[in-house]
Amino acid sequence: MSDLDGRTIAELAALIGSKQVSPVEVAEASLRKVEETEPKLHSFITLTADQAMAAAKQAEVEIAAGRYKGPLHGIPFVSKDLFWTKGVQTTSGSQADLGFLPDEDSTVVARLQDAGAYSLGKTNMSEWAFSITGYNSYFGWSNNPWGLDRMSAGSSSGTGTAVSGGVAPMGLGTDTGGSIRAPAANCGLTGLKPTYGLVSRYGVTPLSWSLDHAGPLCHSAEDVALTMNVLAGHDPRDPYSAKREAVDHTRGLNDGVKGLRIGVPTDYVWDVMDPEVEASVREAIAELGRLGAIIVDVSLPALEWASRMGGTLTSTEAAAYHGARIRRDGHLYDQRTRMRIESGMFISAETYHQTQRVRAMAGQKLAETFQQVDLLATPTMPMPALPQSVGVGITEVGGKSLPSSALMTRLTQIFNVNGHPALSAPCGFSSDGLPLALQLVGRPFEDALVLRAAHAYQGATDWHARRPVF
Amino acid sequence: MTEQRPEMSKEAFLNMAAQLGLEGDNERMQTLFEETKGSLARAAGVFEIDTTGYAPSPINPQFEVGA
Repeated sequence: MSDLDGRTIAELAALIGSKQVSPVEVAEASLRKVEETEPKLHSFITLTADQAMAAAKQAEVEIAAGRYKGPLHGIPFVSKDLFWTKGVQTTSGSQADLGFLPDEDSTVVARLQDAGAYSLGKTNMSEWAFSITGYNSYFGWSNNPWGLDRMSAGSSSGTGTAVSGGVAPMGLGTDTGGSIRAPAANCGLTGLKPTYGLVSRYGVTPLSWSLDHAGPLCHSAEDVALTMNVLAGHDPRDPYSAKREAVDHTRGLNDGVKGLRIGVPTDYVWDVMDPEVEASVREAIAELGRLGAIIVDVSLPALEWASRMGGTLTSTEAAAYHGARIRRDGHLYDQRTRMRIESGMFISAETYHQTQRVRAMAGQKLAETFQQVDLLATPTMPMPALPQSVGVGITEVGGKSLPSSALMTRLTQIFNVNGHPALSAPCGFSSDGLPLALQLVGRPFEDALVLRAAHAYQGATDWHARRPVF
Repeated sequence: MTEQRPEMSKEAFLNMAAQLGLEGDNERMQTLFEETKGSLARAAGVFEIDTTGYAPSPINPQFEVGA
């Protein structure tokens, strides 16, 4: 164990910027940690140790020559294996894409590299990002460092376990129904699904064009803010990229929550809920109140509609993307994933457009709610990390029995449907030592305000600073 | 707005699957049939919501996007 293990970006940047630690020392510590943890966690599909060391040496030369680029210079990261990486295998978690070598980097990977960060490798994920459990029938489970037989959650499973396990302070994930926030919640991390259109998805294998978001998983809201300063910004190669001026996500980070109105939904959210999760999240909301926020009850029936929209939007859009390929190479897909995609081909245009009408109405209802409040606060998930043995089966939470995937996306998916920024942050532990998580949601393009509230909470608590022993 | 929608028959499913170019042995097609029936039943839930006055919107209309 190195004293660099599990450090945040902010801590490492301070050490690197003041030349107390070199980027090469950080890379060596990270690669030692990979060697130590990988047999237990199975975070990676492809490890790029040689390229990482070369990049760390380059960063060291640049910094020694006085060309320090900023807080991500010399910082290692990992990326979910659907972010294109030039000349490095990108499988999207599927046997069908073994050996695929993109000829360019995704925009977000290129931006991180331009900022001086470097990749340690490509992480495991649910095939094509189409499962919240994180299970991959070809590459296997990535195991949760807080309980090796528990789901890390997906689909950004390996990114969650690698960052939580201490090999890198930051990882890239994507979120179509909760796939950044669920692994963040299960693995004790802080993860942001940014506003739709804020972070480019160019060079990211799509699952559902209208629901997919790319974003970071880190140890703290401060680290997420530092990363968002690099990731966010218009990209003409992503047709849904927002044309907006760059925002400094760290500006105002220390301004606290005094006077902010935080809405807490009174219905739906708490209907299916583990008592330990409810207690810890209500305590987190109370803490925000003690920090000066005004806590307001809100009624938000639109939350319930997500389960009727998410499946249709995802499976029809996935069918459009995969249709030709799946007819040719369907035997190479996980057969459950294949059928979920194929079932989308049977959904009528009438149903799809009615779903889009509900989507428009839900967006309107959310906008009305955000006229009353600045932020919403909910649990990220209704229960702590489920055992891997549950798989996609039915399980009981709070006296109600539901399929695991419905439970895991129950409180997250609506914010994909309507594109609001939504962050998961640790807010406690269950009696058997599993992380519990608070979700904070903001108005579109007010990601910085979400980060400010999370940072205030993390200034008053230390849940995010705890590290797993495994 | 609520209306009862008839469940897809196996025969209709197989005809449509053939048109869509989906093939497989009997066991696979039966499993796909069950998956599809479940998806259609869940999807039909949107017809229970009164959307009078709303037009389809593929993304949140508050958003400014575009290259």
